[in-house]
Order: sequence, then structure tokens, then C-alpha cells
Amino acid sequence: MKKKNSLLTNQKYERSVQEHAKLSDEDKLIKAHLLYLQKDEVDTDGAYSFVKKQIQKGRKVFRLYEQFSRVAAILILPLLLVTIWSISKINNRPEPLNAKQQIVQSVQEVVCPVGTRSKVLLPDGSNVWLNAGTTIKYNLPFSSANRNIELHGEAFLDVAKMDNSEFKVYSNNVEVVVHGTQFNFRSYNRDDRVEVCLVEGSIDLNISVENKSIKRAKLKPGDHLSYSKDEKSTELINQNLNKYIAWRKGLLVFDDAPLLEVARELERWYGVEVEITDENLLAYRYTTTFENESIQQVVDLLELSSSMKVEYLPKSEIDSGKSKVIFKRK
Amino acid sequence: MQKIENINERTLIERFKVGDETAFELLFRFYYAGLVLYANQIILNRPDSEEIVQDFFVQLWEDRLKINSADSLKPYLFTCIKNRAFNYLKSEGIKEKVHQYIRAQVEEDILYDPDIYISEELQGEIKRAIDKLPDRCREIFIKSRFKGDSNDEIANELDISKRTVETQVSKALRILRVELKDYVGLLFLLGILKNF
Repeated sequence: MKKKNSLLTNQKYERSVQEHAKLSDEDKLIKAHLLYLQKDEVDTDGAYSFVKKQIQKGRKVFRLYEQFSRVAAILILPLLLVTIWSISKINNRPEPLNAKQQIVQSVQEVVCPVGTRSKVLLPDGSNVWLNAGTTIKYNLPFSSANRNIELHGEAFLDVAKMDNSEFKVYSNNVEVVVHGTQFNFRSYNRDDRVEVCLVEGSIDLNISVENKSIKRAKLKPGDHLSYSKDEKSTELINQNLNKYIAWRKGLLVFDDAPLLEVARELERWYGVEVEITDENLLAYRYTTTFENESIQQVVDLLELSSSMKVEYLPKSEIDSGKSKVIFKRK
Repeated sequence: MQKIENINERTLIERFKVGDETAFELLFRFYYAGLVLYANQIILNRPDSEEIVQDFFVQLWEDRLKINSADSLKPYLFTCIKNRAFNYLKSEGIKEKVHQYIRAQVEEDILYDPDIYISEELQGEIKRAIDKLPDRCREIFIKSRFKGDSNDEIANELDISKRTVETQVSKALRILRVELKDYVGLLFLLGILKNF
């Protein structure tokens, strides 16, 4: 858009507004409706082709927003959509469609509520383990041209190798492109950090903020990349990844973890509500591993290994939707 | 309830949000031209209006998860385009005073009512009224008010006097006003004319 001569431009607009203001109400109405008739002159077809091309170019990284506030008790929520015809039928409409419609992809959504973990087998043979409080979305058909997953939460992916086919995972401004790999992707909305670590294979990673790429990285096995959403900075280290992927085997691992982190993990892992009654307790750090233990056992252990009092209140006893865990001073 | 191609717009919006391209296309085709003409009324530049609206729809698709469920996208779309049009004016170096002037008119004048750009019933009414004009009169009127030709240009093109052009345009307006009187009532009933 070019910048025109300012004075002329201003005059043009001023005149237009003034001329319109002088019209009678009826004339204004006529003018308004004559405008509408110009619609036929507008090339909507050409415009749509252009828009479609821009979208397919996928020039911006797919972004996600905090829409997933459901903690549904349903594990799988398929939103099958074959054509608009189907919807019309459901709504008891007589068919409508013009010949311009295309085959529509259906969207598969898998919700893994807090307090559980699950595993999903994707149509291409890839395995995806979902940690508590995780949602993934992908389009069907899940063909080689279209292996894309949206993630909120934490997943461990064992991606099936397919020739000439990339597998992409997006979450919170981070996009990962893989070619037959095993990696862990941790990106919970409430957390500041997004973490990706690679067990096997290779990954191309791209982080974008406001449509500008701020970091590209190629990960090799053993790499752990951590991205801070607040600081918009990344950290890449190569190390033993066991503690990051232990959750898959039902192990809850804390490695010098501050109390707040422990609290959040317990909330997700067990689906409980955690209360910390004293600010000073936040300085405390835990290093411990829980394996298939009940929340009561976990609470007992947390108390034994620290100088705090930790209490577990099952929901039946307190008449609330969730059980509670309370951290108090001794 | 707003329907597009016989489907509830609310349903189309839900489908669009989860990535249904056909729903997006139907919404696009329904709103595109109206939004372009609306933007053009503000920025007075057709090619740039088309660019503004096209870019907006690309972004709308990318941000689809952000859209709130609603019965219709009309208020949201027109508000977004209005803002983009004003941003365009700013980048064109429009003086603050003129900018306010335009803004005030956009907020109140019927010329900027989204319904004008969308509703097919209204289009039908005005088309019918114009069809009632005598041939010559209609031809001249359309050139004048529709195509924006000056009276001189029309006189030249049709090889008639400028006076004739003026007379015919006045005649057309007289007839349309009569036709419009009933129409105004209809618009009131439809709740479209708020400040009239």
C-alpha cells in the first residue's frame, strides 16, 4: 500500500464524508443499497483461491490457545465430519449444497483427563502415550501428506517411519518435525516451560513468537531442549533422559523439584486438588520417585521425608468434587 | 437464526473452528464481498480493500481456535475489518481530525450498517424498486449513482444534454423515494434502522 500525497488524501476523505452527510435520509438509504448491488462486481472466486493458497502455504506456525478447559470424563471424543451434507441431515435440512464443496477432513480429538494416563495408536502405526491432563488433536485421513498433531499437555511419541512423510507436532508456539523417532514433548498450558527431549532418531524444532521464528534446532539423541514462554529463551543440554520419560512407565519422578512443581504434578497425576497453606513451604524441594503408589501412600511418604505435615482428604469425606492434599507446617 | 446455504451459521462456526475447510469456504463466500464493499466505503480504495479482507481471512483461519462460539460471525467480522480499515487510514497519513470525522460517521450512519452489506432481502427490495424505473431513466440513474459517473460524462456518453441527465436522475430519486417509503417501514420492522 503506497503512501499518497497527504494533503490530497485528506481532502479526498473529508469531501467524501461531507458529501454523504449532506444527503437526506432516504438518499442515504438508496446509496447504501446501491452499494450492495456492487457485490456482483466483486471477484469472490478469485479471492477465495488466493486465500486458500496462502493458508496452504502454511507460512505461519500453527498456534494454540487455551480453549481446552474441559476435564471431560470421556477418553475419546471423535468429531467426525465427512461433508456438510451430514450436518444438514442431522439438522433435518433438505440438502443444500452447491457443486463447490470438497471432501472435508474429520478431526479426531483424544482427551486424557487428570488422574490417568493413556496410549493412542495413530492410523500410521505411531504410538502416542499421553500423560495426565493431556489433549491431542489430529485430522483424518492421517495420510503421509498430513501427519500433524496438536498437543496440549505431555506425550511420548514413538513415530512410525514413513518414506517421504514428515510427522509434525505443534504446541504453544513450538513446532517439531520428526522423521521416525522416539521423543517426549511436554507442553502444559499452565506451565512456563515447554520441554522436548529426544530418545532416538532426529527432530527439527522451530519456536515462533508472534509469527517470527526465534529458535530453530536440530536435536540428536539425548538432547533436552527447554523453552521458557515468559522469557522467550531456550536451553539445550544433552543428558540422561530417564527422569523426563519415566512417567510413561507409571513412575512419578521428582528431581530436586520445588514444592509448587510437586503440587502441580500431583494435581495432574492423581486428579486431586492441592493446597499449600504457608508461603514459606514453597522453598522446599523434593527428590523422590513414586511407582504405582496410591495417593495416600504418596502423601505419607512426602510427610515422612520432609519437615512438613501432609494431609490427604478423600472427596467423600469433605463433600467436594475432588480429593484434597494439604501441605502444612508441622 | 442466521442461515448460510440452509445451514445454521452457528453450526458452520463450530465446524470451522475445528478445521473444517468447507465450513470456512461457505463463511468466506457469504461475507467476502460485503466486507470488501464495507472496507471500501471507509478507505475509498477497492484493490486495497480486497487485500485487507483477504489477509484478514487468512489470519482468521489461523486463529480459528480463538473464535468464540456465536450465532453469527457478522458483528465480529465487521468490527475487525472496521479496525483494519482505520489502521489503513492511519498509515495513509490521515489527519486526526479527519480520522475522527470518518469514525463518527462510521459509528452512526446507515451507510455502515453491516446488514446493508449482507442481507439479501434488502437487495431484493432495492432491485425491485429500480426495476420500476422507466428504461432510460434507470440507465442514467445507475450510471450516476451506481457507477459514479459525473453528469457531464453521462451526457457525453449518451449524447444527450446535461440537463436531461439531471432531470432523469431527479425523476429516479422521486420514484425511489416513493417506493422507499414502504421500505423504510419494512426496515424498521426488521430492526435494521436504528437511528432513523
